[in-house]
Amino acid sequence: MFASPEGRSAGRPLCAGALMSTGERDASGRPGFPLASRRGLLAGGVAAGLAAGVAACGSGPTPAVQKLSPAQRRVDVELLNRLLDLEHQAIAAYTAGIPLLAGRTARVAKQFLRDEVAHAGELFSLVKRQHGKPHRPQAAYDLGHPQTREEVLRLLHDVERAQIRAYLSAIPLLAPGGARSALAAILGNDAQHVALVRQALGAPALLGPLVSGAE
Amino acid sequence: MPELTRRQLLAGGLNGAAGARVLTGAAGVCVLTGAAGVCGLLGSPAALADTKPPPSDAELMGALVVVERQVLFVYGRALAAGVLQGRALSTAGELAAHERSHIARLELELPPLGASAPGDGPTSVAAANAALARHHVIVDLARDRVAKDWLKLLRDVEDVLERNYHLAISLLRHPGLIEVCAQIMASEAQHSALLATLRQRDIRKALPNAFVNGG
Repeated sequence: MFASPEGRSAGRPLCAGALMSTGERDASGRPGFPLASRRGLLAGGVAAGLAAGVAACGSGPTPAVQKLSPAQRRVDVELLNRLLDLEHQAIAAYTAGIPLLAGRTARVAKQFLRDEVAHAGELFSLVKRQHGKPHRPQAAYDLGHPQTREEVLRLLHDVERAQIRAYLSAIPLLAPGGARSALAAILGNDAQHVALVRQALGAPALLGPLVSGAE
Repeated sequence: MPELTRRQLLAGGLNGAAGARVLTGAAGVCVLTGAAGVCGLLGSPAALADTKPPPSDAELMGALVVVERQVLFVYGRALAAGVLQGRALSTAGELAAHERSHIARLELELPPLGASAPGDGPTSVAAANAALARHHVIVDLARDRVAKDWLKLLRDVEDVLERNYHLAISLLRHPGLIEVCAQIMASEAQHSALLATLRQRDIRKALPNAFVNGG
């Protein structure tokens, strides 16, 4: 998908500090979606919310406003804000990485950046709909020192994989209906991104029939 | 019968023919879903607001198996046509193998739900044409096509899968099933991205949407 390697090298780091392991920590430096955290969220009332919200359903791109219990609403806001943190991080990674790319690769990355901005906007709206306070971007992100095309693509690959893992963890915990539906639509787009970034790295675009983000 | 454009097809909406409901018997639940998949289970979008109870997890999973088999039939026709070559041929073969894996994975989930797998997929071109028509994909699979037209048709049927998984994810109750469907939907999204970029190198035209829901 991306153009063949330009072999371009750049002379400046994206950000001071070591590359963050996106699989282990989210954009705010907190752990991503560890199982213990999911259980904690579930204990907060997801099960009750699932039972109560089954009747609600929506299929359109704009989620329907649902009546959720306060506990389910808190869970949803927490989940959505964690995903928003990751989207902010992805926006930062693409914004910083694109100047180090060229040609078709850069054009594709710009398209993906536009997608990430749209995802962040959608999550922002979803948090507001649940009467939550959307997280803002951090002032800076620790993105490591990628200097070549390949290093930038590897950073973007890591960021996209982290997002996929986070969405796959979050979607089953959300109340049925609109928000879950919106997150599935974002997950699908991030899965497309990771496949095409992998292809640009010269690796197989598809690694199996189930997408887990662990690849 | 002239084939409609994707835009014309989508303008027709998701309202397929309603599928048969679950029959409960001494041997458990037999899923007799109609050919229109999850969307067919729900009827028209307007019907979502009526008093009809939401489909069970068994119905939803069975409906997805039905749709996957219909799509696999189309892949079989595309591969047998002998006009796909090179990367298009290898990609289509890989995606068809994924669809077979998806069917196997979905069928694994049916017995614990007290359901059995739906019968075989379409056994004739006429049956497949009729099934696809219920998804608003109006085609004659017996017609000769050049490679790019087969790729377009494969993209159209991947959209059908995306729509059905997207809707199922918003309605399923069991978190494990939601996660499996999200992983498969992400895979279908990757399929459509690869098919789109085989036909169209301009990324903005190939993947214009930041949200993947088959629309």
